[in-house]
Amino acid sequence: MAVNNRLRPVAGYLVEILGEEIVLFHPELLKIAHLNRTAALIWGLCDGERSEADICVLLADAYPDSAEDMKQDVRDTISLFKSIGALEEGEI
Amino acid sequence: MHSPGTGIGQHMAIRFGDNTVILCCDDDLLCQQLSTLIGHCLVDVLSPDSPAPSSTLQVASEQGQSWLLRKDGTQICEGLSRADMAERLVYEVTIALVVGSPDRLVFHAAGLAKGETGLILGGESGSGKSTLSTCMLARSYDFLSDELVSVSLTGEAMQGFPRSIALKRSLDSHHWLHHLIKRPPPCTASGISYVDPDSLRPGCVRDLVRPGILLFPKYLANASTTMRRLSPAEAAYRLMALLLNATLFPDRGFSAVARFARSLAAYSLDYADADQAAKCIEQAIERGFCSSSIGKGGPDKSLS
Repeated sequence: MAVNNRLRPVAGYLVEILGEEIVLFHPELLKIAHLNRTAALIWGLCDGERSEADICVLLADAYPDSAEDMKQDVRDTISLFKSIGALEEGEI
Repeated sequence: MHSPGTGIGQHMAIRFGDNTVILCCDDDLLCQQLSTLIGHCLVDVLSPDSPAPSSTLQVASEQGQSWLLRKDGTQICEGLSRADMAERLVYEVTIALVVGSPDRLVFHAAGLAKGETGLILGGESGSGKSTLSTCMLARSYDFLSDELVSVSLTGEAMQGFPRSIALKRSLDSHHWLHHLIKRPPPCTASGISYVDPDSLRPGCVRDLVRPGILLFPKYLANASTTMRRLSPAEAAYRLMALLLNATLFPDRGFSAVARFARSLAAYSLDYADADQAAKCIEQAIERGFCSSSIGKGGPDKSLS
């Protein structure tokens, strides 16, 4: 699981955007997740073009005052996405 | 509709939303027990333009000692006592009504009403829906259900399954129940008292109202009463776990639930004292559910 691998959503997940938050749901796997604003932002950046490292850099630049916290949030959130099978990786 | 005690005899028609189940039973005592449990859900006759019943349940006596049950002609249980059969029938009727409702979202929830505004109290068993419903009835709220609420796909109408309120002894509701009704019904072997909502306040059973507020109560021993505004996403996430007829929708009801969650205010409610929680709900409704003292928004750092 290299941090430089590109991250993309797993097919089959339905996405409902509700305000600044998101609910993910897979109707066959019966997996569901509520994404708060930060998690929703990270989910949106997992577009098949960016890696975990790319997303950390992007968000650290966007939020320089909380760059370290943001990196940890990215790692934790991506780990959670993977734990419910919502993200897959592909090598660059 | 919802006239208690009708339909006793050979055939009963039990309705929930647009769906009907037929129950055939020729045991008078069992029919009386059922009338106590689901009297408000009975309809006199099926009108000619009503949809065909989704299921037929038939009770048969086994030499007058025990009873067996057939569902759509197939035997599904036997050897039950009258009391056990009554509870089993309520369960089977409930399941048949849920799976026969493809045009509505059916939630595991209690339903109440103040005027034309509906309250949905969503929660798993043990969250205190029935206890809170009883407290709210004593505060002049109307009753739709303590267990099943259906919502139209447009989100504009809600109906309840107004069976008798099932109060569990474990939630310590019985000590104050005596203050609300003169002669509380006895507990069943499973520790449940079935209370006719009419015995709490005659005429309180309602059929159809507009959904206005969504609450997710949670009984926690020793908790202080805490009400928190939920985001639409949190509400949708919680509602999905309570959607009972999800398999009837291609996306398991996800898009309809999300649409519904966008349309009304949602709150979590942690409590230990049901009466205090009922006061809190009432005060919040009187303030229009917009007071800053209730709190707004959810935690920003969580992914649930």
